[in-house]
Parts: sequence; C-alpha cells; structure tokens
Amino acid sequence: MVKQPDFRSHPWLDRFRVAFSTFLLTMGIVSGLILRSGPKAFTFIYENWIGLVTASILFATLQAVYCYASSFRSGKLLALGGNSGNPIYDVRPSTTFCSASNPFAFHSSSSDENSTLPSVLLT
Amino acid sequence: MTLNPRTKSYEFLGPLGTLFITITVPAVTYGLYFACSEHSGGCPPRLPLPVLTYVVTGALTSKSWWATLWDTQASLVYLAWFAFCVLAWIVLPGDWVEGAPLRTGEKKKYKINGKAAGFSFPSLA
Repeated sequence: MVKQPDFRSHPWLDRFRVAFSTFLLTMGIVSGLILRSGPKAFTFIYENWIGLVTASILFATLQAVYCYASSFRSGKLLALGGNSGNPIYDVRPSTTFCSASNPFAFHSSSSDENSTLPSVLLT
Repeated sequence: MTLNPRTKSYEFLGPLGTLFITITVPAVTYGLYFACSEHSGGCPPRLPLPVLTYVVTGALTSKSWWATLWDTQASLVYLAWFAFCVLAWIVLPGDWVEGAPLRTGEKKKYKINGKAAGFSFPSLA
C-alpha cells in the first residue's frame, strides 16, 4: 500500500504554503505572458479542437490495436472478459493488459488521457 | 485449467454493442463540434431537418471534408504532450506500488507519480 503521509512532520499548512507559492508563481508567469503577447498562446486547445480530437482518436486506436496484437504473444495473461474470439469485442479489455511497468502504458498512474478503449476520447 | 479461458458471456451487449460504442462516441464528439457551437447558430442548429440531412450527407461523402478533420500541427502538439507525459512518468519520483494479485498470483508493479506529473504540467505553462 502507498504510505500514508506523516501529518506530524508535514502539517497541512506547510504543504499549503508550498502549493500556494507554486500557484502564485504559475499565475505570475501566465499573466506576464498574456500581458506581453496576448492570450493567443493559451487558446490553442480551443482553436485546434477538431485536430486534437482526430489525433486522439487515431492515437487511441493505434494503442488499442497494438495492445490487442501484443496480447496474441504466447504466455500472455489475458483479461477474462476479452477472450471470446471476436476481434471487435476483444479489443476492449485486451488493452488493459498493456503492462503497467511499461512507460507507454502509464495510464495506470496518471491521467484518463490514455484510456485504452478506442472510442473513449482524450478530451 | 488453461491460462486464458474462453469468454463465455458478453458484456456491453457483445460485439454489436462495442462496435456501436466505438463508432458512436467519435461521431457524437465530432457532431457536437460541428452542430453545437457559436458557428452553427446554436445547439441544435436552427436549420430545417431536410437541410441538415443534406449538409451532413454532403460532408460525409466528400473526401475533402474528411481531410479537414486532420491537423498536422495539432497532432504534433498532441504527440509532444504524450511524450511529455511519458517522460514525466519516467523522470518524476514516485512509489512503486504492487497491484492486486492477478489470476496467476503474480502482482504487477505500478509507479505512482500521477500527482507529480499532473502538477508539473501547469507549471510548464
């Protein structure tokens, strides 16, 4: 299990202080950038939304196909719910077994961005 | 008992259900973008249904429309962000935690540095 934080040596207020100063620094940098060169730099996602959606769909599909293909290697432990023989159905859970210690499958530790179901988008 | 027994029952309404999900979710995402924004005149767009059908079928059957869905710069930015995420996972410190035991009794290890990665991204901006 992950170690619980030691509240006595790192009281909440200390951690809040660190987080708050980081927040102020980030806000300072962001405001400075916007004041100097306008908000254009921060509107990339909104303006290029459709391209990002396409990229995420293609990439998720690629990941899913790769994981599905790699699940055919002998000795692989497959998901119980994904071994029916029908490829359309099996692509779904076979992807969850793209190993967690592989850096390209780091979805296990951080964002939802790398959900392996090809239709679940990275929005 | 084989290592990978055949799946007997289907979840998600089986292959048809998963196919439906696989096709519908991207379609709805694109649909919302095109039909539900300030450019389309509201959500849903204030067009009579025959006009709407005509526009949609016209777009879906034209190759040049499909080409407009692709944006090289956006895709490169997306890949760069993915690469950043991979690098952050490799570089940032995080506990290696054992997961739940699998069917064979083996336990996979997971590096838990999502919080560090998540906070390092806005600070980059």
